[in-house]
Amino acid sequence: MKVLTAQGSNLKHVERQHHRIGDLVHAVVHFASEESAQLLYFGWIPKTGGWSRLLAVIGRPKHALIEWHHAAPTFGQTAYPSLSARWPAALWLEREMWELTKVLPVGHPDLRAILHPENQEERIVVHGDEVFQLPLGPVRSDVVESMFMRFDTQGEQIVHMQPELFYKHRDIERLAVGLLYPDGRFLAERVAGTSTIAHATAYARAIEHALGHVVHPKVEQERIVFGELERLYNHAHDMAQMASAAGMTVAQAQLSRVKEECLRVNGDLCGSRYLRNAVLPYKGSDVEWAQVVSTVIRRLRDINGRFTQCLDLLRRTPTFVDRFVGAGIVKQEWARAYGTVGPVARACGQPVDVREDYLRDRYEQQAYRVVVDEAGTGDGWARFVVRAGEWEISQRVLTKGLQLLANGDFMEAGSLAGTQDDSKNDGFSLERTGIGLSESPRGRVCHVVQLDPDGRLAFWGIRAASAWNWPVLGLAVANGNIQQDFPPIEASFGLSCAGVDR
Amino acid sequence: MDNKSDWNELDAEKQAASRLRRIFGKSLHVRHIDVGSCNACESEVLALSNPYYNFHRLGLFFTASPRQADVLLVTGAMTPTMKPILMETYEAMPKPRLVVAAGVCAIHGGVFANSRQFAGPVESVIPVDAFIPGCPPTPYALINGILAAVNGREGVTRDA
Ligand code: SF4
Repeated sequence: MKVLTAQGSNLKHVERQHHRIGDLVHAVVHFASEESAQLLYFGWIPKTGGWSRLLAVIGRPKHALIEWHHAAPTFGQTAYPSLSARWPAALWLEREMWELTKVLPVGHPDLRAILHPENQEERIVVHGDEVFQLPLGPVRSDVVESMFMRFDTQGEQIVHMQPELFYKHRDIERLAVGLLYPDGRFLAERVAGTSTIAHATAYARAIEHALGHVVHPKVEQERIVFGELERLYNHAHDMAQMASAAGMTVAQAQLSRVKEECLRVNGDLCGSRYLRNAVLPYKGSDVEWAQVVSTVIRRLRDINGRFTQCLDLLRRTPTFVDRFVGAGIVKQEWARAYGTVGPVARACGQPVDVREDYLRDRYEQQAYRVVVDEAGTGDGWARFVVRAGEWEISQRVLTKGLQLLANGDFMEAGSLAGTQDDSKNDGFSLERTGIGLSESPRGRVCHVVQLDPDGRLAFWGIRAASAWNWPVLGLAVANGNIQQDFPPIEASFGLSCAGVDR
Repeated sequence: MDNKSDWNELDAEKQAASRLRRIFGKSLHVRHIDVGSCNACESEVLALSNPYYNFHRLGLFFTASPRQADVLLVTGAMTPTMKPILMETYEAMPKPRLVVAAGVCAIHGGVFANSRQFAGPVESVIPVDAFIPGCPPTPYALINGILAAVNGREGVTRDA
């Protein structure tokens, strides 16, 4: 077995320092048109012992590159050319940056306060006869997270929809500053509770990358297994929500039963139904794999049978299928421009997947393959089909991965202590700075950290999967749908607020 | 490590449930509100209605509107933005009304207690009948907590 670096074997990190922020934006905009280039991170970071600077991290999986573009503002600089004017993926990011730093992104179309929705002035976008505004939230029906949506409707037709988040902004990024990095993981696990593993993994990888360390392959293997366990219960949950949105009560009950059983497997495996304490920086979990693997595999097979049977029935239920076919279409150019991730992007035919893009060598040995809707339909049904396919692949990866853990000869791959990470290029000037990526059930999670010399967090930037998908929900909902289509569309997106709000 | 349900061990719950019917009429309607959670608590609250826990068997139901709710189930670390919304929701509920704070976040802020965006425990804003510790509390703990809140109200008049 090869010894891999933090994010994958050949992946290189290169640094590009720009003299002016304008140059940086210019250089980054260039990637907006490069196919498969991804905006992983964009925001202000402090530079050790100096000025804060603007950082843009671009992933170029085709070239096995992660590019770190950064530039310091000139003295007293209060404005820079907006990135989102050319690459809409940065729209919400720049709103947030503007609110925090008051450095103006010139050309940004909408600079209302985003972090404090209570201060946000109303923006009426749609004018005309018979246009009605329909506010929804922040306390909505059913058990959901608090967020707000403003619909503009004309009759039944939805003309425009803007989601407003950050009702639950807990300021985790700044709360963590000064924490020792082993303590930071308590927060990382609670950025989004249903993506505990994804965030804990991204955090752990970022810390290890910052400190130039590669953990033992067995530890990474555990992260893969836990990550797929997390995907199973989340996909079951999303499917249950879709069934419920389409009024399929029996299917919903069956699927939520599947979810509960997945959660119980998790709970029995590591003591937490949401897999807390399973992934830590530098360390593996203390699960005795050899003893539990056969039971886990047997139970998963059981669960899988129930799940597949239920999906087969749903596929043959016209009243269910009809609600999703053609509902909430995400156009391919939107998916690209807004940098959508996860099943939403893959349903548009974009093979965006951290496992494929940056971790291929790790997933290769477990028969992993990325599931995309080849036709790129991008409607609710495509999202259903993609999730169903992913469930299947997850089962396969899990079975393989668990067996590897139970009888894998990980010892030959070096000592348990791990190895040196040399993926950064020479003279990488951002000291003790690292990036960690993982694929949550909802898509790519990215953490950027910077550590003090004594191992305390100096900076922590979190980009949850849903942060890329929320802006597109508004577009998809207003794309020729009526009010009644909204619940199925929302369910098929399967977004979470906690990770975005942080 | 097998999935066993606990259908036969619910006598205590059944007693509490009949008491619940006495106090609140036929059934108890729960309105959930998230004031800044990480979403794991919501996931567990939602699990109450799955076939394993099936809290409908005890006469418990989720309701869409606070106007029809008997219990306000609060999860999460309260943010300044959600504070007035929580109060409004509470005010909108008819009496008698119960409040259950679920999860350590709702009780004292949990890991977010030192955040600038933490506006205090739920108890600092509205009276709380029962606290359910856990991060997240399991569905059984949630049922238990809701019933504990009901038990605490025995003999209480309708305008509490
Ligand atoms: S108590 Fe725990 S699980 Fe619940 S919202 Fe808080 S951090 Fe999340």
